[in-house]
Formats: sequence, C-alpha cells, structure tokens
Amino acid sequence: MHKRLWLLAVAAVAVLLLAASATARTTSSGSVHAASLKAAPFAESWAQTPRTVAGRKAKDVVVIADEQDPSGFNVYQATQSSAWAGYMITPVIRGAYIITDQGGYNLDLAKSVKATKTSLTITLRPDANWNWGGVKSPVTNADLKYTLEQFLNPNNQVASNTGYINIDPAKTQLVGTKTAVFHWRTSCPADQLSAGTCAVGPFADYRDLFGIVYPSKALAGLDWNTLWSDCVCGNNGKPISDGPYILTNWTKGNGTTLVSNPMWYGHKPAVKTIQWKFVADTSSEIQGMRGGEYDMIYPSPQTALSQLVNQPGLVYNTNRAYIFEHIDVQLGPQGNPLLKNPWMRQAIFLAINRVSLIKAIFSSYAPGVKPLNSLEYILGKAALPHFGKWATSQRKAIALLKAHGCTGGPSVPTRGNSNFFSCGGQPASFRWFTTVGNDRRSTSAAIFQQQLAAVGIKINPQFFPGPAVLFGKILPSHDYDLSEYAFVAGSPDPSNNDSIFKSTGGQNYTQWKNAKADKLMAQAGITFDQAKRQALYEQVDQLLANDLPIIPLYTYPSILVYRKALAGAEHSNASLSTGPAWNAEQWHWTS
Amino acid sequence: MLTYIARRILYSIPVLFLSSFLSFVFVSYAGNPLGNLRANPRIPANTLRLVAERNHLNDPVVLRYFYWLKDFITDKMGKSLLTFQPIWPDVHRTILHTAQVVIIAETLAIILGVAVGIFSAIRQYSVFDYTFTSLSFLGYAMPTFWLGLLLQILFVDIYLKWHVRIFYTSGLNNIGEGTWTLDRLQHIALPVVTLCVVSFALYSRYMRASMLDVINSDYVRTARAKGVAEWRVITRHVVRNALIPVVTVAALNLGGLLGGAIVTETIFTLDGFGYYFIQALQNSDFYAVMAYLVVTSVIIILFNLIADVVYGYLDPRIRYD
Repeated sequence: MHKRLWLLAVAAVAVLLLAASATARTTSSGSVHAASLKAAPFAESWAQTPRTVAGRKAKDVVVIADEQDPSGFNVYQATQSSAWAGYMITPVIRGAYIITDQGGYNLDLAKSVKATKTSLTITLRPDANWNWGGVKSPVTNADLKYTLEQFLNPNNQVASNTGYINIDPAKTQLVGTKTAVFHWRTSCPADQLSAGTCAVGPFADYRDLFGIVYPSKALAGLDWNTLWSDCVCGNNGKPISDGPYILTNWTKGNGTTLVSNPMWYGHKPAVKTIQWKFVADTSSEIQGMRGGEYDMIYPSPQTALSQLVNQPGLVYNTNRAYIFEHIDVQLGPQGNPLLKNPWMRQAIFLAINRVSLIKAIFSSYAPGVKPLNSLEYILGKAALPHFGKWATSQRKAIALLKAHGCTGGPSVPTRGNSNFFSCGGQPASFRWFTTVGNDRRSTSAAIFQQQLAAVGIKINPQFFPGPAVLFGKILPSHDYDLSEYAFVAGSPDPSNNDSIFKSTGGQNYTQWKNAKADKLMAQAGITFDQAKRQALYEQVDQLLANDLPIIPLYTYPSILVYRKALAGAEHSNASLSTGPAWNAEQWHWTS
Repeated sequence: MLTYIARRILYSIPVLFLSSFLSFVFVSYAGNPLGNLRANPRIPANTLRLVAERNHLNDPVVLRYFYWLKDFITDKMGKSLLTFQPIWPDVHRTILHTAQVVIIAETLAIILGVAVGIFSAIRQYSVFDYTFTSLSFLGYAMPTFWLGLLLQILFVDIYLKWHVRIFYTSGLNNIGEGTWTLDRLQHIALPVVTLCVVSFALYSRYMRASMLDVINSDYVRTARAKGVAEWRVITRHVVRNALIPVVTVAALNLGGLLGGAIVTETIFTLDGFGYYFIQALQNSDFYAVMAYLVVTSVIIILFNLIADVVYGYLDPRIRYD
C-alpha cells in the first residue's frame, strides 16, 4: 500500500501542476483584433500599471475599482445594460449632451440643439471626430440618422425608445454633413400606437435623446443586439471612440483599460490611462482603497465605508443619486380601503420619522443624507420641498385619526403600544411588502413598525425576492397595502417619472389617478421652455404632496472616494449612467 | 473494477438528467429576466416581448427545458440569454481559476492537517493536542467571509504601517507576470489561506480520530509486542491505515470546493466558477446558471466515484461487485 500512496500523491501533484499551468493562458482578451490600435489583453496593460500611488502619478495612470463586470458595452441594449458598463463607455462614446454631477445638461458632440413643436434640429460640432483604429473621420449627421434607426428598429431590444418614437424617420433631413433636422410625428398607425412603438407630438425631454451617437460606417452590417458585446469597436474589430478616451481592452473578470484619445475635440486628458479593475466585494474595495491599490472607488453605499470618511490623503465626496426610496400606497381595489382616505395616508406620513431612519442607516458613512421632500426634481434649485409640510408629529397623527372617528388606539404616542385604532369597523392594520436581503429595508421596516405602533397603526412587514416576486408579480398585480422599494431614474428630467404618476403609466402601481396631474404632465410633455416646464412639474409635485400616493423617504447617497492628489475630480460624482469618469479628461495628478 | 466504474458512470447519466431538469424548474421559478428589466421605468413593451420570445419565456417550463437541453448538448452549453455570448469560454476560464486556488489550498490543508492529526493522536491530551484541537474547532467554526475580511484588513494595515506589499486584497492576477511568479502568489495567498484554514481543521480532526482508531488495534499491539520500534509502528502500521478515510474525505471535499468556493471567490474577487454562478444568478441568466449546476453535478458525481475507487485502491480488502 506504501507504493499506492506514493502513486496517488504523484497523481495529485500532476493534477495541481496541470491546473495551475492551464490558468496561465486563460486571461487573454477575446475583444479587439489586430490594428495599429491593437487591443492588448487587460493582463498586459495591467502588468504595466505601477502598484503604488506614487508610481501611478508618475505615469499619469488612474486605477478605478469597478464593482460589476460588464455584460457588454452596448448599454442601450436592454439585456446588456449595466451601470458600470455605462460608466466605462461614457468617456468613450459620447452623445449630443452630457449630464453633469448636478443634473445639468452640457452640450457635448452637439454644437447647438433647437427644439420646436414641429422639429428637432441638431448641429454637430465641426471638430467632433471618430478615432477608428487610429484613423480620423468626422462624426456626421448620418451617424445621428443611424442612431435613430436603431432605436426605432422593432427587432432591437432597446432599453428605452422614449422620445425616439415621436420622431418620423421618413422625414429626417440631413443638411450638409453636420446638421440633422428631425420632425415630430403627427400621426401613427393604430397598431404601432397601441404597441408603444410610435407616439404622436413633440417630445419636450429632447435633451435626453441622442445620449449616445453610434458610428454608422463602423457598425455597418453588424447586428445591433450583439454589437460591442466584448469591445467597443467597429466591424473590423478595431476600437472606436469619439470621446476623450479609447477602450483598448477588456478581459472578463479582470478589468478594462481606457487610453487617452488624441483625436478628441476637447480638453486633452492629462491622465493617459484609466484602469478599471474589477473588484466584486465592497469590503475588499474599501481595503484596497486604504491600501493604495486603487485611486478612486465609487462604492455601493454601506456601513463599512465609515472607515474611509476621515482617512488621510482621501477625499470622501457624497452626492444624491437618482434612486429614490419611497413607500408606495395602494389606492386600488386590491389595497386596504382605509388607505383610500387621505387622512390615513397623512397620519402614516406624520407618524414616521424619516430623520431618525436616515440617522440609523446613513449617519456613519453618508452624514449629509436628508429626507426627500420632492419627487419630480431631486437635485438643484428645482427640488422644492413640497413634502416638507408632513414633518413628523405623532401627536398630530393621533389627532387626525381620532378626528375621523377612529377608536381603540392610544391617546398619546406610546412606545411599545399594542392598542391599535379601528376606523369605521376596519382595523388600522396594513400589509407592508418589501425586498428580502436588504439591510436598509429590514431596518426601516423595524423602525416604522415601532413608530406606527406608537400611534396605533399596525403594519405587518413581509419580505420578498425583488425581481422575481415583488417587482415581477406583486407590484404589477397591485395586491399590497404599503410597499417600500426604490425607483431608479434614467435621467434628471422629471418626465422620467411620468410612467409612475400618470393614470395610465406602466409603473403606476399605486393606481393614483389625478386628472389635473395628467393634464399638467401632458402639457409639460410639449413645453420646450425649460422654466415653464419646470413650473408645470412643480405643480404635479404639489399635487403628489397633497394626495400622498407615494411617501418619499430619501435618495440613495452617491459616494465617490478618491485620492486628494487627483485634482479635477471634485465634480466627478455624477450618479446617473454617466458615472464618475464623465469628466475624466479634467483629471490630473498634483505633486 | 472497470465494470464497476462503467456501471457507476451509466447510473450517473439518468441522475444528471433528473438533477438538470429539477434545477431548471427551480431556477426558472426563482428568477425572471424580465423582472430586472421592468425596474427600468422606460423599458418599451416591445423589448420585453422580444426578450420573452427569443428566450422562450412564455413557453411552458418543460418545453423550455428541452430548448435548453438542445442548446447545451449541441452548442457547447449554449449562449447567455442576456449577452448572446457563448457560455463555454466563461466556464472554461473560471473553472480553471477556481481549480488552481482550490488545489493549492487543499494540498496545503492535507499536508498540514495530516501532520497535525498524527502528532495530536500520538501526543493525545498533551498541550499540543489541546491547542490544535481548539484551533481546529475555531477554524471550522469561523465564517469564511469574516476570516477573509480579517486577513484583508491585517495586510492592508501592514502595508500602511511599513509600506510593504506582502499580499494583495483582491483579484486573481497581475497576469502578465505568469502563473508561478511572486506577483501571482501575492494575489492568491489570502484566498488560499482562507480556504486552507477550514479544510485544515477538517483534515486534522479526521486524521486524529482515524489515528486513534488504528493506534489501539490488535495488529499494532502485536507489532509493539514483537519489539518493533515505535516510530516504525507509527509510520508503517498506523499512519498508512489511518490515511484511508482521510483520502476519501479529501476527494469529496475537493469536489465540493471545485464547484463552490463561492464566498471566498466573491470576497477576493477571484474570477472563479462560484463567482460566475453568483453573477449569472443575480442577472437571472438561466443558461449560465444551468451550466454551473450541471458542471457542479458532474464534478460531485465524479469525485464521489473517485473517492470510492481510491478507497478500494488503497484498501485491498475492499472488493467491488
């Protein structure tokens, strides 16, 4: 048996060596092919990246931790769409406008954009160019036309075609090489109208159109649904860019490299290389940032980040993300009838203490988070605090319930109260649905349960898997009373929320129906004057604050941590799809 | 023996089909690719329809299983439902990464665990025995994610204090530098230690218990009575026989880890098979999830078979019918 044991040991060592050797050749990129700008595997590029901050400063390299390995880079294709892929291609493929960290729209590839009730005219910058494998060619109006066609192609799995379907492609006029005139549709075939692939009238949120401009020549002959699944390149496999950086390689499970684009029209980037290094776990990411492995992180908000708040040599920047946590109140027949009464919704809002919830959840790592008091606008001066009038007052909540004939509850707010109100014979007891496995939501359910019990309202929290059950089944069925979850806005424009608040909106799970609000949103949809448009949405916000179909809680904090020596990143904390590298061309290392 | 192996492999085929069918049914009901898409307020109804049609999401689950089976068999595990990219290259890449880390960790754990187990059994109830018994229980009870995080913090603190980069906190490689470079070892050291600690605890306990069983057996007493030197009794008669159950446990454990060092891979961002599974599951990418489950099933079945065969190979008293 001695011999047999030795044989076994030799076999095990052989397997080990075989496996170890095999992994040596598993990291080559399948992404981009031969060219003067040939994409080396991330491995090669990363191997050249200095491991110390000082070394990276000397070589003008920035390493950003990337929390999610992309599924591809055509982020407007619904199943490839991912936040981190969007952040990576923002400096690579640009659009007519770019959205800033404060929700502003800055002209980017477009020199001018003019929208009227009949048409949309976009004139591209004369110096906007493609760099396709090292060859320079202008970004033209043919690219705008091609982009429109992709969004309108019924075989394409587009993540959104809102606004594009208002444009009549047959009437597109190309003027010279840089100007395109698009005309809004005046009619739609009935079947397309009902299928949602065609819409009539102007689209006032025109600044969100052409957020990306596809290179028509480079993509000729490619299937839009599968393009850029492993690179950002043209039909010959060479990388393409019209932004300040070129995505030169991507290795799945490792990372992505961007190098500066000498053909970019704007400010020449001082940082020559950006490495997005994949790190899946936020705790590891935090340790890596502490230990000098990364220069910038854009982490998912979590308590462990408190370690970095006062870390010397780092800047800890907090902004508002366009993700708003809220409580949906079901107003349809499937919900509890008591919730149809505005006073009951007001009592709930008055009873909960959003400040204490936020303190419990965010104080250690995002001290600037405040209760959300507007739904239509989240950032900037337009975000007026219409919901601020419902500041916590548990005494007022009890008085309100009593004034409407509710009995059996406490006469003053009482901790640990177990006497609940009954209103018209109906107990003030509600189903509270939220997602499972989310610490913030389990904390808020526990806190709100206690706070509402103190005023005689009972909630029964139940936790469900998010995509499969809560979003996939419960919300569309409207069979709930109260539900806490978050809406993710695609852009700062309030029209993003129309589908939530319009009576016929696809995401109007609460079944709130307000004819005045519908009219205001319809009016805003054709109002191109931004000030007038804002005034219309402010009125919708006031109606929401009065009716309370939704109780806003807070917006998620958007946290960006970077090295103090990396100047120009002060305004990089953009929480939308643009991400932290939206102004990477402005970054530079200071001594 | 060959007949036995062939029979076991044949038995495994229906087991695999059954397990793949059950897995497919459960995975289909647990996740919905459209659920993720619906979180986007502006997702067009046409896109939802296209995704559903192209992925047969509106068909009965049994029919969908056969669509998947066809792709799995005829198209090297098929393509991702989301990216349309072939699954096989991802499986191939990630499973080799996992194999490297797991095999190194297991080899270290076996060597250390066996050595400690032997010594603990020989010096039963000594300070050494008590110390390693306690450490083994601690290692066995310690959650992997916690141990991983502690190790990361420790080595970052060392770096911050002395500016010496001993180990990296995440990633599998600075790949350009080769498989057996110092740089590679700096990256995989912490996950290897994390996996090793748990397995070491297991092997040392098994080895100790197995040694104690053998050390009191009649033939060992006979050897001692015949005047054989103690070291010779231990090495020749006790250790060799005590190793048999440990080898079996190691084979089974190795199979399990190859399919699922999920927590360790996630903490250390290893581009491994377990992490690939987690990502696919989060995205409700059924075909990728199914590829993982089928490969894992094959690995488990294979290593169970290996364990049985090795047991018979090492112990001539075992005969297979």
